[in-house]
Order: sequence, then C-alpha cells, then structure tokens
Amino acid sequence: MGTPRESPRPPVVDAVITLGAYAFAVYLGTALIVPISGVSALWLANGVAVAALLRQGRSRWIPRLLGLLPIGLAVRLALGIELEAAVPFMVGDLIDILVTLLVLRFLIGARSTFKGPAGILALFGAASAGAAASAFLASVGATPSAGIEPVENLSFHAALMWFIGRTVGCVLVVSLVDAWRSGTPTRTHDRRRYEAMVAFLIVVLTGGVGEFVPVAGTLAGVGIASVRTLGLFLFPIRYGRRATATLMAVLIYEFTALLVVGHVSVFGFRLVWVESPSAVIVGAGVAEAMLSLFTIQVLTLGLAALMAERRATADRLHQNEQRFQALAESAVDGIVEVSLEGEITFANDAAKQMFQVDDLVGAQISSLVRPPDQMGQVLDLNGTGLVKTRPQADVGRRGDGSTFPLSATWWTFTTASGRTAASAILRDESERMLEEEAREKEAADLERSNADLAEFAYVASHDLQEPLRMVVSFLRLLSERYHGKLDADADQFIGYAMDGAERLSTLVADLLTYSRAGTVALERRAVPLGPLVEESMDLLRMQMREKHVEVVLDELPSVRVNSSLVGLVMQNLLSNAMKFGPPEGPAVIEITWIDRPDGPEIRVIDHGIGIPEDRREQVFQPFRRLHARDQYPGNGIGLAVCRKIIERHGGRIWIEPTLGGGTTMCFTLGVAAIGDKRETVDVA
Amino acid sequence: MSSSNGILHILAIEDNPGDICLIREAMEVEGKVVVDVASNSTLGAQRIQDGLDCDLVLMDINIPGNSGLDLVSQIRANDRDVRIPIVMFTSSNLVEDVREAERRGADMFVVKPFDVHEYIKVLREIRSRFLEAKKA
Repeated sequence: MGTPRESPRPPVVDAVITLGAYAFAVYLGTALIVPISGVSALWLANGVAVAALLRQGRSRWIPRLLGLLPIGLAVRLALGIELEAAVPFMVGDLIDILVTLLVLRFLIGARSTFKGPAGILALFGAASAGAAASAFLASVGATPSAGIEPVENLSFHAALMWFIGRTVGCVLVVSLVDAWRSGTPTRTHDRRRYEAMVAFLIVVLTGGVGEFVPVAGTLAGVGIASVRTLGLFLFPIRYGRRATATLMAVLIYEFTALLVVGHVSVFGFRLVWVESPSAVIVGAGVAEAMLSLFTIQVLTLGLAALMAERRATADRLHQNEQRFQALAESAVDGIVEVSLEGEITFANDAAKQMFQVDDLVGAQISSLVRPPDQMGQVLDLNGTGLVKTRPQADVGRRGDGSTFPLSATWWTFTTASGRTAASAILRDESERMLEEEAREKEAADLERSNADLAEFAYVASHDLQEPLRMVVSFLRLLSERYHGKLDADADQFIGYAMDGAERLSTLVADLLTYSRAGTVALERRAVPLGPLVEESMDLLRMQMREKHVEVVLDELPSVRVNSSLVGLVMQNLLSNAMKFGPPEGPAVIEITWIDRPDGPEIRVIDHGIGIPEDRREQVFQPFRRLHARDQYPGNGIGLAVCRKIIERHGGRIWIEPTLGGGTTMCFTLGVAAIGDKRETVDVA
Repeated sequence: MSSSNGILHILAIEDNPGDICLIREAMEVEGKVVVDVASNSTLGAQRIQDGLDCDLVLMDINIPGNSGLDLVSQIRANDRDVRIPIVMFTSSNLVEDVREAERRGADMFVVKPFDVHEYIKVLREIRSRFLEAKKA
C-alpha cells in the first residue's frame, strides 16, 4: 500500500484536529446518544483519543493525553451533566485510554498510523474499553439525577468481566489492525500464537458477557457483539483456518446456550429473563439484533475466509512472481516475452547482456532476432495451447550492429486477459561454436598426427632396414673371411656387433610388420578359416614337430576378412601357444569357435604356462615382453600385431585363462559367419 | 649396341657404396663380366643421354630423388633398335611402385634379400641368365 509512516501535516494542525474530534465525539456521545444508547458513543470518543495519540508517536503523548481530559470534562459540563457524574466519566476515559495505550504500545508494539477503514476499526475497538470503564463507574456512582440512566442489574462481577473483556478486545482489535496494515510478517511465530490465544479468550469472554449477564443497557450487548464480529472478521486473516474452525464451534455453542438459557420465544422475540424496564423497552428488538448479529457473524466468517483465500492466492501469486523473477534473472539464457505485435514486453538481464542493450522492453524483437516464420500463424491459432518450437539456430544482432550465432526456442501462450503472446529462450552460441570448432580441429589434428605417426613408423622401419642390411651384410662377410686371421679380441668384437645388428634387424622387421598391419589396405573377401589355419600351421610345421605339438582343429566357419592379415593373426597365436606351451611333454592346442551375436568368436586354447591376470592387457602392447629373451625368444610384437589387425577388422581380442592352466586367446572379427551357422560349440 | 667381344657389360645405377661393392663382388668376372657404375641419378641420366653402351641395366627403384622411375622412362625413350633389359632392385615391395616401373618399361624386379648370401646368389643368377642370353 505504501502508506507513509508520518503524517505530512504539521503537528499543530494534527493536534487541533485530534482535540476537535475528541471534543465532538464526547459531545455527540454525551448529549445525543447517551440518553438512548447508554455509553456506546463514548467508545467512539475514547477510540479517537487512542488513535490520535498513537498517530502522533511516542513523544509527548502524556501531556497530550492529560490535555484531552479537561476537554472531555468541559464538554460534559457544558452539556449540563453534573460534575458529580462527569468526573467518573472522565476518570473512566483516562483509565480506558491509558490501559489501551500501554498495552498496545509496550506489549504488542503497534506502530501503524490509523487512517481510513483501519483507523475506524481501531477507534471502534479502543472505544469499547472506555465504554466498559464508564459503565462500571456509572453503575457504582451515577444517579438518575445526573442526567444518566443508571445501568441496572449490572453486577460488579459482570461489569469487571465486561471491563476486562472490552479492554483486551480493544487491544486485540488495534493490534490486529496494526498487523494487517503493516502487511509483512514481522512478528515471530510465538508472538502470533500468543495473540491468537488472547484473541480466542476475548471472543469467548465477550460472548460470555454478552449472553449470560443480564445486560441492562442492551445496546451495549450489541456493542459487544459488534466488537466480536470485528474480531472474528480479522481472526481468520491473521490466524488461519484452524483457528477459524475453532471459533465456529464456539459460535455454535453460544447460539445453543442462548436458546437454552435465554428461552428465546420464537414468535415474540422476548427474553423472559430480562426483567428490568430499560431492557424491556428494547425487548424483542434485542433478541432480533442478537440473532441478526449471529447471522452477521457467520456471514462475516465466510467473508473473512474468502478474504483469507484471496490473500493466500495473492501470496501465491506474489511468490510465483518472485520465483519467476529469481529464475529469469539468474538464468544464463536470455528470456524475452513478446507481444502479438512483436514488441518486447519483458527481457531478463541475460538477454540485455547478450544483445548489449540497456533496456529491451518496448523494442521490436525483429531488430534483435528473426521471430520464427510460423509465429504469426501460431499466434493466429488464438492461443489454443502452448505451442513450442524446437531450438533453432539463428543470428542475433547486438546493439552495436554486430551479429552472433544463437539458438532460440519459442512458444506462445495466452495471458489471463486472453491476449496471445510469445516467449523465447535465447542462447548465445558463439562460445559453444568456438568450442566445437576447436574440438573438431583437435580431432582432425589427432587423426593427422596418428596418420603421421603410422607413416613415420613405416618409413622409419623401412629406411632403417637399408643401412642395417649393409651393417649386417658386411659384418657377416667380415666375420666369415677374417675369422681367425685377426686376434681373438677382434673375433669376439665382431661377434658382439653381429649379435646386436641381427637383433636390431629383427626389431626393425617386426616394427615394419606392425606398422604395415595398420597401414596396408584392408581388402575383405570370403575366407574359410579352416584352410587359413592349416596354411599357418604349415609355416610352423618344423616347430610343431620339434615340440611335439598336436593341434585339434574344430570345423571353422567362413568369414569376410583380409586373409593374409587374419592368417598372420592365426600364425602368431599358434606360434605363441607353442612357444608358451607346457614346459615338458607333448602339447595340445585346440582351435574352436562359438557363435556370438557379434559374429563368430575364435578361441585358441593352450595348456601352457598361462598369463597372470594383471598382465593380460599389457601383452598386447608392442614390444612388451613378460619373459627374459633367453628364456622365451621374441620381440613381443606378435600380440600387438594381432590386436591391430583384429581391431582394424572391427573385432576384439582378449585373453581368458584355460581351465586347468594355460591361455585361451579369443577374438572376434566384427563380421558374422557366411552361410548357415553350425551348432554352437560350447567350450568350457 | 654393346661391344660384341663376348663380355657382358652391366651398368649399375646405384648410390649405395655397399651395394656397389656387393654387386661388383658378386657379378664381375675377369674377362667375362664388366660392371660399370653410375653412383647417382644425375650420373645415370648423363650416361643414358650419352647413349647407353651396355647389355643390362641394374638399378634401385629408390635412388634418391625418386628418379628410378624417371630413369626407366628415359632409357626407354632412348632405346634404338635394341631394347636394353632393365632389372630393378627394390627394398620396398610397394605394389604401386612395381606397377609403375613395369608400365614405364622395366623388365624384372628383385626384392633385395636381407641375407647377404641370398643377395649374392640372386645377383649371380641374374648374371648367369644374361651371360647365357648373350651367348645365344
């Protein structure tokens, strides 16, 4: 609401208004209304006083208050009320105002200014306290000759209860108004509970006074009910639905009690227990008033519940709004909202930054980015739902005219007022595109460097061979022709040189094989694997005989592969199986296959020395050896070549242990077997 | 165009002194076989330009400058009534190179054996084949 805390009026004017209002209220209450309604107008007077004092802040309120009293006294005296009666009224005013002020100010901490409807509510509540005090004093001291009807049948206890109830009720009303006007939940949860409890007590107490005490000035009863109604009206707003339900129960209880105790006559509206003449005057009217008040209370409760609902809805809306704001402002992506005419109605910070513009609202979206072609069409659909586009690549135009790549996701929606609008999430893609370019370049670089490396390995090993051939050739001729002709050292040195040169030459040859396995063209044709294995075995025949090796060959399928490369794989695997076979006795090597979903898996099984589990990957690295050269000769290139060949075919090669010891080399070739598949051979 | 004194004249276009040494060692026979050497491609080209006077050309396909193939073309361009046989040594067995040399007119391809004795044997086989051809 944004109500200013301090009145802009000068304090003197304010004080004059306050005093004038007070005097007028006292005049009205005493001269015109007291004879008819007893004391209700005095509530108004004292309420004006309290509100005025509260309004003027804490400073100098005591002299102001004391200043009020002579005015009230003077007005009453001027109206012809005897001093004897006017003084108790004045003292009642004082007690009333003081108590209310003290409680409000120091216990509850009310701070609001009381203007408009809220101010009136406050006056009304505050006034009730004064009324109670006056009524009490009147009941003890006033006489008919003082110009005021004594309040009959008001017992001391009832009056006390009335006094307490109304004072606290006044406090409650003003504090509720204060809280309501302040708007924000500045009070703690505990304070709220305390308030609710007090409020509840008040409602019950005032109810008790209203219905069970034979109230002589029955309009006072109406006053009580009014206060309660106001309390009830504010109750759900401040204390929620559960408290409201409790109050409803109390009201029903009261009404029942009224029926039972009061013996309300349905047609005569006569309260049988009200005996006093002043009460009889109003008789049936009072009953009617009570009933209608009850109806008002119930209606008010309903209204209050509605208001509470509206308040809750407003809260939710506010919360949603804040959530949206927080989301939109913290978003990395730009978010804009566009009207049917293409005018931007909302833009978050990210959008402003993206386009490097201070404010986007009011600008045409087409100056920044092209809205989707179908947008007009979509909008024509009159918002039959959320129509959303996929993120589309586009070009954004910054404030300075430069452009950048962005992606936009558009959707349309219908506002509460039925207008169709569109929103877009805009993402600056320049960074991502740079990254992508860098990534692509990196990949290309890597590919090129891999190719370079392969080429280098090939050329190096190839070109190394030439000079090496010379070294080996002439060392050989040297050792053959000059053996024994030089001294013993010379023969030995030549021997060492020969040994090294020959080792180097096998290394170079292996390296050449390895790099050739990766570079030679992969020409696939249908190859029956059985004959291919037998061909490889032919090359190893001598070794097989030497080591007493028996090869048990399963019937193998045909596959589309490069025969010479796969032949080399078989040759290497067989050679390894033989080399690392059982240290003693004859060896059996089995070659079987299993049909797998990704094609046949060939298994070369030996019962030799095996490979420890943690080395089963290492052995596929080039020149990786697990044993000393004099124990098992070789350069450690065989399995590396195998892996290269198998992987070029799109297959896999790995090592499993053979049951009972040994190694099982398994590989697939990335292709299915040709023709009909024979039954799966399960190899344990 | 070779001298017809019964001696086999071989021109080896080879830049590797070791190979030259081995070729001489394996092929030269006093009074029967003479090996003449052009030790780089420029000298080889010069010899061809001057008009070859030999019964056989031995050359490496990979003479630096990759001019082995060009030299083949050059020889064939200068051939007159007799087609001089060309034997090419190759240490690569790159199929493309061999095919290209064949297209340009080389007659025979030999992969240089790594083993020195094999190499000498191959050279001697070539020698005896062309000695017989000369006699015939």
